[in-house]
Amino acid sequence: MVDGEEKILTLAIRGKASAFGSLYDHYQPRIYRFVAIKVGRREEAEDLTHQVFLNAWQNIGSYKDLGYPFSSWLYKIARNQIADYYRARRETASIDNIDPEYFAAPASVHLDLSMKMEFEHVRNAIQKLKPEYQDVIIMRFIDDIPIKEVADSLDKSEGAVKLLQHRAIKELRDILSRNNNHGPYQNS
Amino acid sequence: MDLIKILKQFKQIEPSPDFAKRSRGIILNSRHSLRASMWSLFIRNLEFGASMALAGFLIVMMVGGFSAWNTFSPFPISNLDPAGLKAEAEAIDIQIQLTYLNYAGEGALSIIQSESTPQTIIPSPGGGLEDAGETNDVRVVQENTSTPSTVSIDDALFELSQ
Repeated sequence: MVDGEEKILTLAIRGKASAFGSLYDHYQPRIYRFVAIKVGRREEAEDLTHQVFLNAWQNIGSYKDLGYPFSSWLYKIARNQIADYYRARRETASIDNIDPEYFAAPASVHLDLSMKMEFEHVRNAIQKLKPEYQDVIIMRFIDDIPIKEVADSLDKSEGAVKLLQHRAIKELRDILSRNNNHGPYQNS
Repeated sequence: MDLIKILKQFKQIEPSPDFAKRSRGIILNSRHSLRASMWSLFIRNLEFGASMALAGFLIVMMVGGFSAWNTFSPFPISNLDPAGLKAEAEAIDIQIQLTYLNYAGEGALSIIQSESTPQTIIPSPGGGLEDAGETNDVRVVQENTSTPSTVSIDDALFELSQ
């Protein structure tokens, strides 16, 4: 959460661009990461992230502070945007007609080669999870977002989020073990 | 291999600075948002104003009823004005009395006319009283008093003249 977020939000709702700029600077990396892990391609991730913030800016007048963090609203927009993206792709292209290279150009990250292979392996496994498992893994284990904020973003109770994260990590470990060339995965 | 540690590596995924700068500029320069927020601000104020007005109206209704409304409002409800209602009710009574008067007047006139001619009342064979000479006149008068709407005064006078 940004320092003085409430005040910044009030100004942004009144149309002050610089206030929304502060929110953008703070939340854009998180939203980009969330989108990039789910869609896998840098170009799509950039386009979708841009669309998320554009929608947020255009509709910020309708934002009502109900006690949830602003990020939960952004995550909801991002989830809707990603759902629309997959729906549009399903309507326009069969999976068989898509160039395999499409999936092979991930949002880049600077790691050594072995780590990068591991990274790709885990990311492919994440993309095989159900959307809500993906959401909870990204938010809880990658971005370290508190359970309450995740619960607000996903419209679930904190207990449900705890259960979800447990199932999600178990499912992820199962997928990785099924594709196992890397030995069993453990929790820390 | 530690899965959680690998997941933490994903935090290194970041957008390119060029994209972030370009996207930020495009978004913040779009003017649509300002209009949208001003419109929503207007709608929100309108909603607030309407809810306050409704609440005030309901309080007035609960506390004072319609009489309070008529006292405080610049637009009193004429149908609920007690003085007006009373005056209207009295006016109706007067009209009823006038109608009765008119009715009684017609009857009285007929009786007066019939009484102006000498009458001899004799007992009838059935035990009643009967007029010897002017029986028909009395009957006409009786018809006039019992059904004033069907036999007019002119008809009665015509009958009397014959």
